[in-house]
Amino acid sequence: MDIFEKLETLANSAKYDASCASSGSERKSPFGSAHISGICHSWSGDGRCVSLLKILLTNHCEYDCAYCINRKSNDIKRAIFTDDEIARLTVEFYKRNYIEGLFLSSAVIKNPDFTMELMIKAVRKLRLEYHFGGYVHFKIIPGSDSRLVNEAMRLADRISVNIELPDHKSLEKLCPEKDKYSILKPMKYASDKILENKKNRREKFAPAGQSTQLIVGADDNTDSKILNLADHLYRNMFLKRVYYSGFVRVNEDSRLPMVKEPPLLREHRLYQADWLLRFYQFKVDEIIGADSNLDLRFDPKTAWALKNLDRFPVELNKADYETLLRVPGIGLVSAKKIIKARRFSNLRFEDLKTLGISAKKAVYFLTLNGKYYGLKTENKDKIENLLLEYKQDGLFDDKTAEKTYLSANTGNL
Amino acid sequence: MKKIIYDGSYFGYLNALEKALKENFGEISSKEEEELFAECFNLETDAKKAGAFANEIRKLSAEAFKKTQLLYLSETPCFENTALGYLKNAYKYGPAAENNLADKGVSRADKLCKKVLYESHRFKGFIRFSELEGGIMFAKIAPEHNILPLLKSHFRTRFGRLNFVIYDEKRNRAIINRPGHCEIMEISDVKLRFSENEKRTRELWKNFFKTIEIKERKKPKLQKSFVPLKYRRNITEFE
Repeated sequence: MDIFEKLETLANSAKYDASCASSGSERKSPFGSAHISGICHSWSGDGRCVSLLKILLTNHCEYDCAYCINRKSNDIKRAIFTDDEIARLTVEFYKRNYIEGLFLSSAVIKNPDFTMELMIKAVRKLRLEYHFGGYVHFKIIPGSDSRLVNEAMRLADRISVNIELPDHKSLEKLCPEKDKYSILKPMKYASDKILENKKNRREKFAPAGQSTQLIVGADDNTDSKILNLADHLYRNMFLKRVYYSGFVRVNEDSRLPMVKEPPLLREHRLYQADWLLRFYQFKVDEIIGADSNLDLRFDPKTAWALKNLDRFPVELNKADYETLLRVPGIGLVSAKKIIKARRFSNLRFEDLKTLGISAKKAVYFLTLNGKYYGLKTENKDKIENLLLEYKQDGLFDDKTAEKTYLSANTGNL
Repeated sequence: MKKIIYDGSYFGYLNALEKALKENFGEISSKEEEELFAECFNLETDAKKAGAFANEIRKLSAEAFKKTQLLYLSETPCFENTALGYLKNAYKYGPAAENNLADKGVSRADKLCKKVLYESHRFKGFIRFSELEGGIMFAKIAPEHNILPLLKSHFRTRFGRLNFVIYDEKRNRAIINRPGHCEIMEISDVKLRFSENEKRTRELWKNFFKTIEIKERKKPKLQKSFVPLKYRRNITEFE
């Protein structure tokens, strides 16, 4: 098989991984560098950012996971890269500025350790023989030995172990060869090592931390299950990112739900909720009740505000930063702007436009110098309906929200 | 209305700003037009004075100096007047002027500077090099703003050991890097001969790019907002 066909086969097999971040690492070397905020180089037709050469080392797989395009029982074209092919493709693409670096994952060939050894060999070649100083995202194979995880972390900027299915029951049903332990063990090892290395600061050791991915909609787990797991990973394993990947039905399999389209809106709401956890100082039980799903009609912050109308309206000129962040329609950038600008002068309604803040949503939750510009009578149903109407008119910032989460994938913020 | 006409150079721009601020001119322009209603003053560029004024702004605040430069690089119509409105505020309030975002002058300057910085950040990703015979890496761009000075250090850090050229075809200027030496120069008459390897690598990349799209999730509108059509001409995978 020539390199053209190989690349097509092994890129096609890798594309369902949602992560494409190239942020969190600063590296300088004779050939290449990593930019702390990450850089997107392109966007594919599905609107996803392209910043890394995302490929599998091989799609030959010993496993037979129900949802996966590369599972053993699928009759598809199989290929395997040599270490030099991977290194040279990365270098040739990198020096043309097509990419920020390499994202190397793999199906399980022979066994997890054997696979990891091949992957490490390729990345080592790239780093040592080609002196590559760009970004490397290394996908850890569940069940591989800690020694190999350690070696991968020495070479990579970011590592990730994909959880994919959020509980033991789904794993057993859809992914019989994997178990919870084989996934969590390398993850825990990596998080301990990252912490340890932070204290010593001896060498570059996965400086951009670790991330993971959860598939949404391949099983019957609820959003609350997913978000509680994500919250646990952020707080106890210090993950940089949890990615949510709307389930795409690529295999015919009776164990899988019959869905025509991936649950994109649900995935989008999960990303929004994830942001509230990481940047807006929300606690997970404020966003979602036990055993339930997010409201698809509203973004999770608006949904929270509608349930807590007694906390509103707040005074734009007085509310502290944390309170402003909880106002629907006011994001991180706007909240900071407001704090800055009102230090200088009292803000009036017409100033919002100059500041570049859209008041469409926020107006129901704010007063400006004591004056309320929203509804005369505070009535939850009316506010709900008005907010829904805006949405239907397309006046809402769903596009910006989408942009935000996509640029979040690359860590622009 | 009193108006200053200057020669369009960076030094001239600084001279004009100084004069306008200190002698209360209302407008600055680099175009000589028939003016019916304005009293025009043709300004002679003075490099030494410009340097002194640059230092004066720098002392005022580092941010004010940075913004004054960025506004010049923006090359949008009437950027001089945006700079003037902003600097009036900076002179009045010092570094605190940055917070006066409810002021139209400060806000306008802030937004325009962000636009310039955003474009230069985008181009850190959008620039596409081609390999020429002899191994020189060559890229062509046509940005809205004059962002070459903002791109120089990034690409120098990344590819300092390579020979590379980033050519702004709108302005006939280029970043030219040889190991150990990097500068921005005027160039014209660009003739290109690609290396043997080049065509194949491009095909590999284009096919990779096509392959990674998930068809079930197609969103061309979103893609368009990220990669505007005006930039696509010079981006390999959209050619």
